Amino acid sequence: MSSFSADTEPDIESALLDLDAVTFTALRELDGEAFRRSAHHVVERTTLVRARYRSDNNTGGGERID
Amino acid sequence: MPPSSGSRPAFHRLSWQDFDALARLDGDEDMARRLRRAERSRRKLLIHALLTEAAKTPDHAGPLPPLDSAWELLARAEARAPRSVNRMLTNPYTGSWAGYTTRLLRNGIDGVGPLWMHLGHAHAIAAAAAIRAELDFETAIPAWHGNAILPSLGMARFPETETFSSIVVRGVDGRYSLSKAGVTVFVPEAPDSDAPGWWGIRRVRSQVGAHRFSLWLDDLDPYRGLYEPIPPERLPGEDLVDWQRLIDEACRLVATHLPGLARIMPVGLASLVPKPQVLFRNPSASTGEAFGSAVVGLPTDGASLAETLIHEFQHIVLGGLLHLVELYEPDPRERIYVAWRDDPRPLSGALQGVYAFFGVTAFWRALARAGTTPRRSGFEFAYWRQQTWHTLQVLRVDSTLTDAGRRFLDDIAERLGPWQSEPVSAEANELATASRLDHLAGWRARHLRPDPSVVAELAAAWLSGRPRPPASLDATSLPPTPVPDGAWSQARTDLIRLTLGGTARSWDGRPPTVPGATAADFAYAAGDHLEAVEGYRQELAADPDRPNSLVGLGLALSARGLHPAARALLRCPELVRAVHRPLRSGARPPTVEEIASWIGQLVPG
Repeated sequence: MSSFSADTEPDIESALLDLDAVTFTALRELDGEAFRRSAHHVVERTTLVRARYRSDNNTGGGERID
Repeated sequence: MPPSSGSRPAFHRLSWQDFDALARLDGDEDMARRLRRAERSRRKLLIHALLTEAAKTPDHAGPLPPLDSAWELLARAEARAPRSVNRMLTNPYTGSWAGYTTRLLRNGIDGVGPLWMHLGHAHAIAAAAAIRAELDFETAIPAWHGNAILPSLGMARFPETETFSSIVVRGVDGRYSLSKAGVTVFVPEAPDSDAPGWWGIRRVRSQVGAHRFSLWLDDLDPYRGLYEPIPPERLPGEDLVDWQRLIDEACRLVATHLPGLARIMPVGLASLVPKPQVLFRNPSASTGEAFGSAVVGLPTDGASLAETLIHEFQHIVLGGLLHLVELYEPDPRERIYVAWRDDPRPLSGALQGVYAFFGVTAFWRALARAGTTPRRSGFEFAYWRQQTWHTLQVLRVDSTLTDAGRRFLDDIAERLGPWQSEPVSAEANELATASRLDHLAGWRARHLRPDPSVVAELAAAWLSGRPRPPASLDATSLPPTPVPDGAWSQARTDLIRLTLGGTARSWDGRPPTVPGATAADFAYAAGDHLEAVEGYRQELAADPDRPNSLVGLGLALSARGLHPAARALLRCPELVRAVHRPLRSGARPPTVEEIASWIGQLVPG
C-alpha cells in the first residue's frame, strides 16, 4: 500500500518544456536558459538510446528500446 | 505558456494521482492525451536542435534545399491549418526519425544512407503537413531506392536510377504531385488508397458499441522500425483482410472485457507496423521514441492480438511516463531473470516487462472470469500473474530504483497482489507452475555459471565415492552471464498452449508443427510421463549438455513423484551439468541423472 497522499502532494515537474502551444515560427526564435536546458536534456537522453534488438529472442515476449 | 513571453517557463507536469492511476491500470483518455502532448513537445525540442545544428553546415543539405525552407513550409502549414502540423508531430515515426537523426548528427556519421537523406526527411514532414493544409508549394524530398515517403500519407515509387536521390513535390490548386526525370506521380484524393506509382498508408477501423478504434497499418515509413530505417514491405491484400478481421476480434474482446482500457488505448496506440506471422511466438516490439506505434507480427487469432495490443500499449504508456519522471538510475547490467525473454535483462527492460505483462495478466484474468475460452484464459492468467509477480518482487528491492520507481511498482503490486490468490482450475495451476519451472530451469542451465571451486569439490567427492555430496551447496546467488551455454526451445510450453487452444490449427484441422519439439516433449505434454522420462534419458545419452533434455527429465520425473534428481534438475541444472562434465572422461562415467540424484539429496523438496 502506498503511504503517499496523492491528492495533497505537489505535481511531478518534468524537465520537458511544454511547447505544445508554441508555433513553429515562435519555436525557431526560442532561446533562453530554460529552453536550452530542456533541449540539452532531451538531446542527451536521445543519444543514450541503444539498439538492443536481438533476433534470437525466441520467447515472443517482445522487444523494447528506450 | 510560450517560454519567450518573459514569464516562468512551463514544464510538463504530472500529478501523483495520475501517476498512481496509470501504474494501476486506472488511466483515462485525458492522461494518455497529456502523455501524447508531452511527446509532441519532446519532438519539437529535438527538431529545433536538429535543424539549428544542421544549418551550421550547409553541406548537410546534400542535393535538397536548405533546411530553412522546411522550417518555413511547416510555419506556413501551421498558419493555415494548425492541425496539419500537429498531426505530423503526433505521427510516431516523426519521433523515431528525430531520435535516429539526432544520433547521426551528434556523432557526425552517415547511417543507413547518407546524413543528408535523414536530415532531408524534415522536408518530407513539411511537405506532408503542407498537403494536409492544402497549400500551394514546391520543395524537394529524399528518395531511397526510388521510394519517396510523405509521412502519414503514403509513398511515391519511381524507377530506381540511384540509391539515394531527390524528388520534387508540388502542390497547385489542391493537386499534389511528385516528379523526377520526367516521371510524375499524383497523390490521390484519398491518400490512403493506392494509385499509379503511389502506395497509401492504409487504415483499419473497428467499432464495438460506443468504442471506436482506428489503427494505421504503416508498412512504408522508413522510420517505422525499431532503430534503423528500413525499406517498405508492402502488405499483400489478402493479409490486409486478415488484419482487419483480427483487429475486429481483438477490439471486441478488449471493449467487452476491459472497457476502461478500450477507451484509453486508441489515444496511445494509433499505428501498427505489420510483420509476417511467426507461429507460437506472436512477436511484437516498440520503442520509446515512437510513442503511438508498435511492430506486430500477424497473430493467429483475435485474443492473441488483443494480448499483444495491450502489451505494447503498456510499453507505450510507460515510455511516455519515463520521458517525464525517472523511475531508476541508469544500469545497463543484464542481470535479472524474466519469464518473457530467454536472456537476462537490465532493470529497465525487466520493469518494462512487468508493466506490459501486468496488462496482459489483466486481460486473461478478465477472460477467465467471464468464462471465455476457459482452459486457455485460465492457464494464461495463472501463468502471467505468477511470472509478473515474481519479477515485480525482485525489482521492488532493487537499489537502482528511484522513489518514484518504487512507488510505481508498489502501485502495481497493490493490484497484482490480490490476484495471486484468486481461484483458477487445478489444470491451469498445475500447467502454469510446470511452465514456470521449465523456463526458469532452462534459463539457469544456460545463463548461470557455478563457482569452479564448488564444481571441483563436488566432482572430487563423487570420485571418492561419498554417498552424499558435501553439505555446502549454495547455488542461489550466482550472477548471470548474457552468453547462453546451449540453445533453448519453448516446445513444451508451446505444446501446452496448443492443447489449450492457444494456437489456431490449419485449414485442414491439423496442428501446426511445434519448433524444436521432440518425441519426449510430445509424451510429456500428453501426460505420458514414463515415456517422457525414457525419451529424455535417450536424449541425454546422446547429448548430456542439452538444456531442454535436462529440464525435461526433471519435469517428467517430478510429475511421477518426489525424486532427488528432479529437484536438482529443476532447481540447479547448471550445477548438475557442470559437475557431470569433468566426470564424463573417466573409466566408468556416471549418467547425468545419477549426478542429479546425488546432488538432489541436498536440494530441499
